[in-house]
Amino acid sequence: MTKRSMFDEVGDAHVVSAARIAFGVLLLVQAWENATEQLREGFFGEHFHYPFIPERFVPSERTYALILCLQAVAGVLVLLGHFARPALFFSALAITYGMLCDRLHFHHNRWALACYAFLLSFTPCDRARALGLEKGAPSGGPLWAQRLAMLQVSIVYLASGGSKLVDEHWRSGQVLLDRMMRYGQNAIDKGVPERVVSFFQQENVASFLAKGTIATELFLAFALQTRRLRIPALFIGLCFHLAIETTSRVELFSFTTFAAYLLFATPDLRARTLRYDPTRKKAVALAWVVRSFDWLARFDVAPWQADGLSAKRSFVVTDRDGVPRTRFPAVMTLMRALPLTFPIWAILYPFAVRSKE
Amino acid sequence: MFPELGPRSRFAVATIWIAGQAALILTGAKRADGAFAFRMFPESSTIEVHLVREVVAQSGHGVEEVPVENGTWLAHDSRGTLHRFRWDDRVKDANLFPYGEPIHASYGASAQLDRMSRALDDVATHTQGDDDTVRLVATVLVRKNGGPPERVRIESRYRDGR
Repeated sequence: MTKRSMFDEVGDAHVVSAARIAFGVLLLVQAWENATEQLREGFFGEHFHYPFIPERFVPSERTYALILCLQAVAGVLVLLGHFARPALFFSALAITYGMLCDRLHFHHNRWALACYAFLLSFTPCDRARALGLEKGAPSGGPLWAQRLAMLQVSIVYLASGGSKLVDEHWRSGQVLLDRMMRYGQNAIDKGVPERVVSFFQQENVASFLAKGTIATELFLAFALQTRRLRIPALFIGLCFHLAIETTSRVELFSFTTFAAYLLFATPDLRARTLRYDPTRKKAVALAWVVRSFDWLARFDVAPWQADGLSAKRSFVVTDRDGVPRTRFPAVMTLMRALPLTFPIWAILYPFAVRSKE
Repeated sequence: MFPELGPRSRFAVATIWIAGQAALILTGAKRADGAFAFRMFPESSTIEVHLVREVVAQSGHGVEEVPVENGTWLAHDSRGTLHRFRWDDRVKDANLFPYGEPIHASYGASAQLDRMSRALDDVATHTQGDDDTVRLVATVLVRKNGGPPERVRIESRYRDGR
């Protein structure tokens, strides 16, 4: 990767392409949700709606149906990587236009999805993992829009945490306490022990949680932009959104954020290696797993070559630092670099450090 | 296929984008629902909407209020034929149902009051065949973040265009 300023930085496109695929799925789900909303309730323009824009710009039922169909097609194109950038651009505009036509259908998660889709349309996200791409075609491109999308993640956290910080009811814990009081019975009905619910219904606990929430959002806003704190911030962010996902209804918000988190991976194509013993079934299976789940193209996976390490090893992983690792440290290196196993790595990391000591 | 921007255009797009986001976030408080400002979980407020119809008093002087039960009412047209009207024929958003039960104000109490005001106007202007109702009135019991209830009265426009 050649690094100059944010605006002329170029790098590998596998990271933005992986994010493109994730957003393609989300755009499809969003198009489906919009369509089912209209099927369930009828065309929004035919009943009470509350547009941001003048009524004359609200589409007819046919036009809106066409927009929804095109949104679905765009989602597929984004997923496949074919005409992906115009499709992302169109999806962003279509989602925004839909919300401008009826603010009753405005949701922060939809707006966030539109923002990321718009920014992603300026990235070289169609230069890797795309249908019809020639083998060996260059997968590099300008990354300024990826950096802007990363900044957008922080903007979301900053706005959310900042608005809570200036709100006295939020700061004091009153908002959370009232939620706990009102929905406590629902939690008990779902099997949460009564003692746990009662614990969270205490004023001082709610106050502590509120301050923790604000601190977490503001921490994420800043920490995600620093190299040193990015890894812990991503893990804290994952836990934070999983907690939100399990306790609240936030549509696609958590998944939109997880997709955006992919953009924080360093775009260094196959900077790590995995060498495995092709005569051992377990090693071959591991190589298959790594190839399948290495969505960010971080590993160069190839069969074993004599490298001075004991021949008894099944696999050797070399990280960016060039140090070959085997056994548990090698597994940890793999887990850290693969998006799906990153949370497991983060949980095991303190134990790994302790055992090292 | 998609134009690749030069460094100057990239800078321009980034500047406009960040300035736009800042403007939307900083002006979020001016919009009742804080739309486009990423104000997640702003409140834990509830609203409880009781709908009444103002109809001409039986004495012929002034108006009287008739409660609307479960969002449904019967009214006469100009020929005296009785029709049934339903709130949810026009308003599909369950957060705006005037059934007298507490509803979570998902984007805050002021957002829901603003939307309820618009919904009242919309229903009042889309109930052709109801020649009894002068206007619709919602009495909303607002509990902001579990605080004491506050009563808010919202009136629709007069249906005869007064």
